[in-house]
Amino acid sequence: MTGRRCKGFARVAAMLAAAAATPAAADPVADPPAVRPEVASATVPRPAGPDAPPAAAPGETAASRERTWADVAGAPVPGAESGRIDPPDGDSIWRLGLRGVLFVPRVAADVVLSPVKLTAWAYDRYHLNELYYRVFFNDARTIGLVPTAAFDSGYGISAGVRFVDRDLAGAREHLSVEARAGGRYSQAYKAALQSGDRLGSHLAVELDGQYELRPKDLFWGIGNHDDSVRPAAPVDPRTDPAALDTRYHERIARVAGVIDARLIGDLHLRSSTELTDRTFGASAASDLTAGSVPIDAVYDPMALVGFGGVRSLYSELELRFDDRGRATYFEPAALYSAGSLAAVFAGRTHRLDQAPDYWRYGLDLQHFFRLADGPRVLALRVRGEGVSGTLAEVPFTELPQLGGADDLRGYPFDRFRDRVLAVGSAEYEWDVSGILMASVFVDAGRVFDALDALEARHLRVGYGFGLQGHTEYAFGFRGSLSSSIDGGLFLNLSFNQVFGLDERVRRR
Amino acid sequence: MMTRLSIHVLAGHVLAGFLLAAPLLAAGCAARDVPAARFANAPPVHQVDDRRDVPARPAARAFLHALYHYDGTVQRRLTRAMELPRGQRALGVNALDEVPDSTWFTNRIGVRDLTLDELRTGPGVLGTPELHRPWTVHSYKAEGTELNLIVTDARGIRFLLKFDTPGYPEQVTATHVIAGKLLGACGLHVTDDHVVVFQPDDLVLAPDATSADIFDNEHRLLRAELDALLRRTPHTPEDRLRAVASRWLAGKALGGPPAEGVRDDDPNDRIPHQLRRDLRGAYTWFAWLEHVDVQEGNFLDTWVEDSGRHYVQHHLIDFGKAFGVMNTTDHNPRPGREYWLDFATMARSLATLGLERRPWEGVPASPLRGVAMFDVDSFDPDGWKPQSPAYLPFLTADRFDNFWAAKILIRFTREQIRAVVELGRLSDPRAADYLTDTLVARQRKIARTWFERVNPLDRFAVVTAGAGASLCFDDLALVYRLGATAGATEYRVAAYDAEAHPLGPAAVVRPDPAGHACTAALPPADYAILRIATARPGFDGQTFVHVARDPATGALRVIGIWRS
Repeated sequence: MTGRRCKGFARVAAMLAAAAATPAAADPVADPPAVRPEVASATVPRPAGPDAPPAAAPGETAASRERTWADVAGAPVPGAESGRIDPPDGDSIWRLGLRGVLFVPRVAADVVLSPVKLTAWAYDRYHLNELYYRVFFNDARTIGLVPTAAFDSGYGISAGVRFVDRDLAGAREHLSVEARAGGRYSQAYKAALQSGDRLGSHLAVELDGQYELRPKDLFWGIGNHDDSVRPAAPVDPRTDPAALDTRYHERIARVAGVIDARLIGDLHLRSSTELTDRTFGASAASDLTAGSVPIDAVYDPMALVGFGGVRSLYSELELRFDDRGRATYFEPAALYSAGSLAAVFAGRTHRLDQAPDYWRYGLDLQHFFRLADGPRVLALRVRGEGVSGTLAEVPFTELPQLGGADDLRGYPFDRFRDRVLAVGSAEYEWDVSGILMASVFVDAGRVFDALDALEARHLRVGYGFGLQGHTEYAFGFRGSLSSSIDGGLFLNLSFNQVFGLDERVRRR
Repeated sequence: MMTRLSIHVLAGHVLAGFLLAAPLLAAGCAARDVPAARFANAPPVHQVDDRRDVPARPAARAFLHALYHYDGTVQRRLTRAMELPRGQRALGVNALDEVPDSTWFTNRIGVRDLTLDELRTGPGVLGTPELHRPWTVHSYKAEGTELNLIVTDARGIRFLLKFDTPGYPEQVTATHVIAGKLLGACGLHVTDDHVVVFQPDDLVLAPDATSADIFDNEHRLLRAELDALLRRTPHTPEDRLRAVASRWLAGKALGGPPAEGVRDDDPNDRIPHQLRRDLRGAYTWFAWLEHVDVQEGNFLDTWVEDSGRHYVQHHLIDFGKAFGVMNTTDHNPRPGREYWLDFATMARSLATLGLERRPWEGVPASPLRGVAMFDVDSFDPDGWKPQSPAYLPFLTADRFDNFWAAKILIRFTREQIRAVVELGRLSDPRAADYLTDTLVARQRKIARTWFERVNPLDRFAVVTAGAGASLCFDDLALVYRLGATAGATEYRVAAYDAEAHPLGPAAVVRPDPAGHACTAALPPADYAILRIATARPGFDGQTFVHVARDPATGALRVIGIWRS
């Protein structure tokens, strides 16, 4: 560096010599502004003269008058103000060489990222957000069409469209009609109506109807059994421990109604009723995924209770205390950082197809410990659910299930099912930015064949790492990478909040 | 071409004695601890001519918000890093390490004491439109949830009316005016803004008033629509409307200047913006004001006419998100402490499982009406971050730029700051007290930070006494009582000739209690470099002051300052 400077001084000397040979008076450019006598400080009042601020006009303050072109005529142009006569710094040969090496990767990065840039450009240039509302919504943005997309682990992506009217009769009544296909569904339709503020702040009514064709739902047998090899002949899942990925198709038609009465504060009493009609069959070969087989290739359809079809009426009462929310408005409203949920329910399934009735019961306890700003949260959950009927009475699809993106992560979707389930979760969540939360979690639980068989042995334990994307008000996604003590690696993407409530009348 | 010519002219003022030393200068460097910077023996430049005629109107630049922040946060940031730019000292700086006046910047409080009236008036001379009602509404444009009305007052002067965010009374309007006036006093070109309070009846619809949506589809603005819009805005406790009236800038709007490079169609725009001292140094002023909403859309160039000539004038606009207002209205405590997408912070958070405490944690929103999330304790003058890293001059700013800005900033007195805060017309007097106290405390925190990173000597002057001359200067850390003590401070002064050869032994001088110091008699050389090394507990730094004889008077004068 110093050596290069020294060479520079030689050039400075030559420059100075040349300058000395040119009389200043002969310069074609006017003299620079006068310097402040002796004083080099920029903080000392300036003298009058060409360097002084222009005189103030009547009514103007000295500071207010901006310079004009006439005031600065003859001053150096930008870039010539430094007074420096030493040669300017340049890039080292090493920097130039390395820059050349990185030229191709830089261009490649530009090319690879150009679709994102193009999208951002189009978003701004064509006001795509506004354009969407303009095309698909009314001016008040209460009536419109919403595209939907979801990803279910083990099934893939589904997409569809939802019609919404968020203010049906002037009291924020909410109507939605949705259709979608793909992923888990070959067809799915849903209509829902919520009373909004129509019935006051203490009473809400929800009605909905669904029709779904699911070509490849999962069945891993019944019980807390380890993965197994395919048996030589179809077996009875109620007695045989065979557990492997099998698929069945299902048609569901259901209507449901919920009355939610706010008793006091955050304590609600909810009454739900559901009328369901289901039919089943083995998945077609074209609907199978790698490693899966039709359900009837492993399990005896005659032993699958309800496989011939289920029609039932389910009625339930639930007492729910729920004050979960954000601790401050500086935290995302879409995520819980404080509060608790305590819910107990009991419901009766009345079979309309001459099969025996049975009870369903359960509880859900959650608490969010806010550890610090951000927020950092320790979320704990215990959930239990059971049915009163025997395995010979309760349809296989109505048995409590564990596994997937929401319950007992680290295991396949609906990996375990039996008459009773118990699962506990501990999740530590922390914010990594204003739009992203990270989490580490561990889930432990299992299914049991009876309530009195509950024990803490042979638990299935899953664990993993997750990310949740959100805006201030909207939940975006929840992705997790999980495994379990039984091995396997699962990448799940869910569009439900962690510890989402699994309502029986709208259940999977 | 002009640059080379100017250097040529400046070189013509070099002393003959210095020229005699040229062969020796070429021979080599004796002292390696003297930086290479050399200055022409010429007066420093206090203004540049970037008002040369630009007869063709430069193209207007559209601000694309998502593209700007994506590019500045991700793509261009990545590719720029792969271009391996070297750290470079700012340009647009004169020989005394100061910024000359230009269409970007005008020395104001940095060079003289502004009166309270000057501070209150700012760059405007026409005053508030509040005294000139009724106002005629010409148009309304929907911009998200903001209500912007273009009006003319009874004098026919055009203003933009902007209102507070619902739920946050007085925050945007007060902040807009206070921050704008302070930035203007620092030297940036800002809009002329006033808080105004009025009744809906003070607004009269022009017969051709229009309302436009974001797609620029216009329809006639009717009274009922205007009244509905006004009902949505916060009202004062006396049920009046409160807004900020921002005087419409003269000239043709060209959009904001690019954060990187120059405006290609403006021949006066010769210094890449990421290298401009005035833009880089503004980091410190923005940090002072917690003005996190830094983006190209909040700058506005105008093509102005000036006595038959045209050129581009550069302005800052929209200050209403400063003082933590963006944090409160967006419900986000992060701006000012981390970027909206801050990869370094995210990586640390992931690696530590969020155990690292972030600087925004625990910062409360003020309960005072009109005050947002604006504090001193969480403020880090060196680690402050605007909302986005897209504004390149703030990434390239170095300690010298911030030192320069801090020197200007520290000149505000409490009385001056209070006078500007009162322009915000905050209804709660405690709010004005709080803002004043916080601004003063942040000002001093900033000064302490940068005066510890760069030798805080300034106001150099050659003082002739009797037959000799000495160099006098102020130690800003002492002058402004920022914690340093005169008794514990000393300056080791060594003189060198132009070839960096020592001109005698070094001497030690000490400041007086006020922070003023003078060297012993200067050496008789025609060009001397004085190396002044400051030493006090916890600090050492040095400044090189170049002095030479004025060829016209023979008197020594300061011709250059190099801080290291």
